[in-house]
Amino acid sequence: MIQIITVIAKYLILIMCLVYTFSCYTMFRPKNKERQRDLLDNQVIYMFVFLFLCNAVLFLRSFDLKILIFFAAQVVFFEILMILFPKIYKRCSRLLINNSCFLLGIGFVVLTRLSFELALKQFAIVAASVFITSLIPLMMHKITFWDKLGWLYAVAGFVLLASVFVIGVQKNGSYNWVSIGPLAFQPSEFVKIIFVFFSAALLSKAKEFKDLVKITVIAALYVLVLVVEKDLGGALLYFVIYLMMLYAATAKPLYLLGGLAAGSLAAVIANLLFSHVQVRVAVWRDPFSMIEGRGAQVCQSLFAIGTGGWFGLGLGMGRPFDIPVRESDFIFSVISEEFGVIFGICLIFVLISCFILFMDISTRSRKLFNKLLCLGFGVCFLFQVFLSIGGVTKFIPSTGVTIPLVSYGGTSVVSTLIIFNVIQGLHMLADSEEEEHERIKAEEEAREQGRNPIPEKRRGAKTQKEKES
Amino acid sequence: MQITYIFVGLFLALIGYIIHFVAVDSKDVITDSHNLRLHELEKTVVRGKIISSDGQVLAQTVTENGEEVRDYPYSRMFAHVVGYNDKGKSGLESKCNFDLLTSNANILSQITSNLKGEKSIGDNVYTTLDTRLQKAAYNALQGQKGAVVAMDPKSGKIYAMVSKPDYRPGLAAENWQELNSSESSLLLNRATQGLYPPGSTFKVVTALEYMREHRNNYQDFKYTCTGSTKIGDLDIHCYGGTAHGTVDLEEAIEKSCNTAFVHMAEDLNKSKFASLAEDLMFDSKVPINLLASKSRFSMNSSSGTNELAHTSIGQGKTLITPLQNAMVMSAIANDGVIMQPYLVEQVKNINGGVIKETKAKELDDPLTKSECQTLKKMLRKVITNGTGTKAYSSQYHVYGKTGSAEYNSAKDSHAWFIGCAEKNGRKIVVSVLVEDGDSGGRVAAPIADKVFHAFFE
Repeated sequence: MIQIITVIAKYLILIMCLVYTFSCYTMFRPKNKERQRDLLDNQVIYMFVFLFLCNAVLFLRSFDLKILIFFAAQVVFFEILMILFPKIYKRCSRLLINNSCFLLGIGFVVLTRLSFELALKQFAIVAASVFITSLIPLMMHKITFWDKLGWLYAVAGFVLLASVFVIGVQKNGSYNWVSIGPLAFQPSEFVKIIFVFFSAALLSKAKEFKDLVKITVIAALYVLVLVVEKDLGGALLYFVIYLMMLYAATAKPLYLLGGLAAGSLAAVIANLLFSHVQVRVAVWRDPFSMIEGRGAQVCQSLFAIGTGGWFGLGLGMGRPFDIPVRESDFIFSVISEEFGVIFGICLIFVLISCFILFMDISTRSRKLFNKLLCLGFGVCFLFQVFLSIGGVTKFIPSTGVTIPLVSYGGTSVVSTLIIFNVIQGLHMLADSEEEEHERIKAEEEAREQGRNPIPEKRRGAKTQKEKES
Repeated sequence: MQITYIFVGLFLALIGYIIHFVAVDSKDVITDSHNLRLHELEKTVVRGKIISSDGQVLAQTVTENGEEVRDYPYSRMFAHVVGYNDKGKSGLESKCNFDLLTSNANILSQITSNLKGEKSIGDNVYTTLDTRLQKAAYNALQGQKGAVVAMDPKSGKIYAMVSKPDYRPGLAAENWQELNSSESSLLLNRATQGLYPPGSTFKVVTALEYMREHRNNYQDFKYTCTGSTKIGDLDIHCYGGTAHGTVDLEEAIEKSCNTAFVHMAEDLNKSKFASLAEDLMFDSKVPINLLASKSRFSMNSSSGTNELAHTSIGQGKTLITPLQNAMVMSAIANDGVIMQPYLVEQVKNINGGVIKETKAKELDDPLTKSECQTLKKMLRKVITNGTGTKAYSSQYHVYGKTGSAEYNSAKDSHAWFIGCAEKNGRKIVVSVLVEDGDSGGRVAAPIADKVFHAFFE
């Protein structure tokens, strides 16, 4: 009986995921605020049905009451977040909140399936950090000198990044963890936020070529530290973030092409110099010849994705415990195995829709600093997804990167929540800037036409009210 | 905005790759024995059938006393190629494991059987194997150790693949101990994994190389055979010490004259010779859906005179599988084009809907059409006047080459025959190896003859 329920639930889960993903994209179309609100409300429904189905299957497979209690806790948490956050921040992006809840929800389900303890731990970290990071949009609004601290970011970030050489511990072959008392975290996860702030602050102020050279040298030092720490995924991520921000700030394709050429050259040199790079490349080329050694991770990941096929084996029906580092780096393989590759592709599209939203906010922002900040975080977020999913599917060599919000890992989830809330802050700023701009323009137009400006103003006020409701 | 496009492009490439992986590559990947998920499938799917090209069941799952048993109606006849389903599996049972354990029956019937608590029915694998030809080859080989491969040179379809000694695939698990400890390597598929010196069958390659290096005057080659000769410090004898008298290239092949060949090879360019062997797919993996060994050709530009002499008559360090030798013959029979050999024609669901289909694929194009025609003419003489007369028939046109490959210092030899039979555009290539069979012409050629007969019957 449970087989049939799992199979039926499998298709329903997929349908929920498909309609949710689809709604992420239709969302941008209607200009009508009310229609948009309906769409957002529907999204919430899809998400809860999805969570309900998954948890129902998980419960029926184990009859463990803990699962039901945990599910209830999730519902309460998501409801509070989705009701309270827009209440406090009237102009926040609800799509971004929905997406973060959906991604977190997928993460919770998969972690519950893998290990209840891990899921609970993740939930506690998420709940606490959502509460704290919710203050960020307020800070973005109240503090106006974020863009003036460029050199401070540069130094602070670098010191924090290099701290692993003093107090670092080795984990998974990379030297990029720091442990202070009971806390262990990856500084590079937080430093990437400071790195984006640093690049945005300095690039937005750079006037001459000399300035660009200075900033680029500092950025290159960051990347170098990560290479020495053997954190190749991190190094590549920082490199791409900086390159894209540089391109956006200068609009010179030559920099983009030159950067890509330099990056490729560096990759070739790294492959010649470092044995750990050679190993990764060799594993990528033919993991099956090393199936009982270093190739095992990628092979098992491909087995999982391939055996799952389009529709997946059904929740609880796969063998995720054959996959190494299943709860973090290889979570995409676990998802694909049981939910299917179509679901996996939907997940990618949801992640891309977050990115498009980031870029949209970047375009709408008026200050260059804010534009670059949005863009930097967008690239940071999406490229990480690319490294992670590309790695586990053998599209590119695996670099051991997590999927933001979905994978298990305190550092990763906290840093992503910080980024999302910075973006929320920027979204609200862009919105109010836009309104300000429209109001001024309307006033000017009215003055030019020599009419009474008061009715125009009222109309403006009305639209503002509509937006808030 | 360009940045958005760059990233969306990057992800479309990634998604395209993932779709390609699932639709195409994953089918081969997941059959790996390190993937333990396939065991899970066995709980919900009844393993499909393996069926011959003439519609006979080669393997099926039946229920005996409430227990599922894998049944092989032809028992030993297809033991190696179809394989066994226990202990890690072998042959097609292993390579097609995922197809056999996947049910592509329509969703409704799957749900119904699911609701009833019954297993779904797995897909059936339709092979290129023909039971009539397999039977002919199997019976012709009798109790001797060896292998027979029969294939269609135009498409690469394998019609028959026999390896002996054999075993009963249905009892593989029960007799596991014995199967593995047996000295005669019962489980080895000699057709694809057995490596043997090619002996005189390799003279086809030597002759071709000679023709290439003496494009305008290879017809002028003359040598007077006295039954034995000396190359450096090496004594070379013709089979049975027979003196063949004065021979040209055609007669040297026809009579399989060793002394003529070692003299012919004396001035051959070693690196060109090696690259011809490479073109004929020595030292490369044969892409077939079975475990297969790489044939070896180790002579190179730095090899000495002795090795060159030995190599030219297929003795030396050269080793070949019966399948590979069939492919060499196929190249000659198919105007120089080697087709990828394959065993699985189609995979169909229980309702007969085609799930997968193999398309004939060119592997390599090592010979020109005119080279093939010249070689065919020479090899025809082998059948009409030379060592291969036992494979002659008035019903169809046969050409081929015999071989007696010495494998120890006591001059014991394996018997070889490779050949092609044609009639009205239909072609079949057969490669026969009989271990310790002594004479290719006397022992191996009659076996090929029986397969040819069965094909044109």
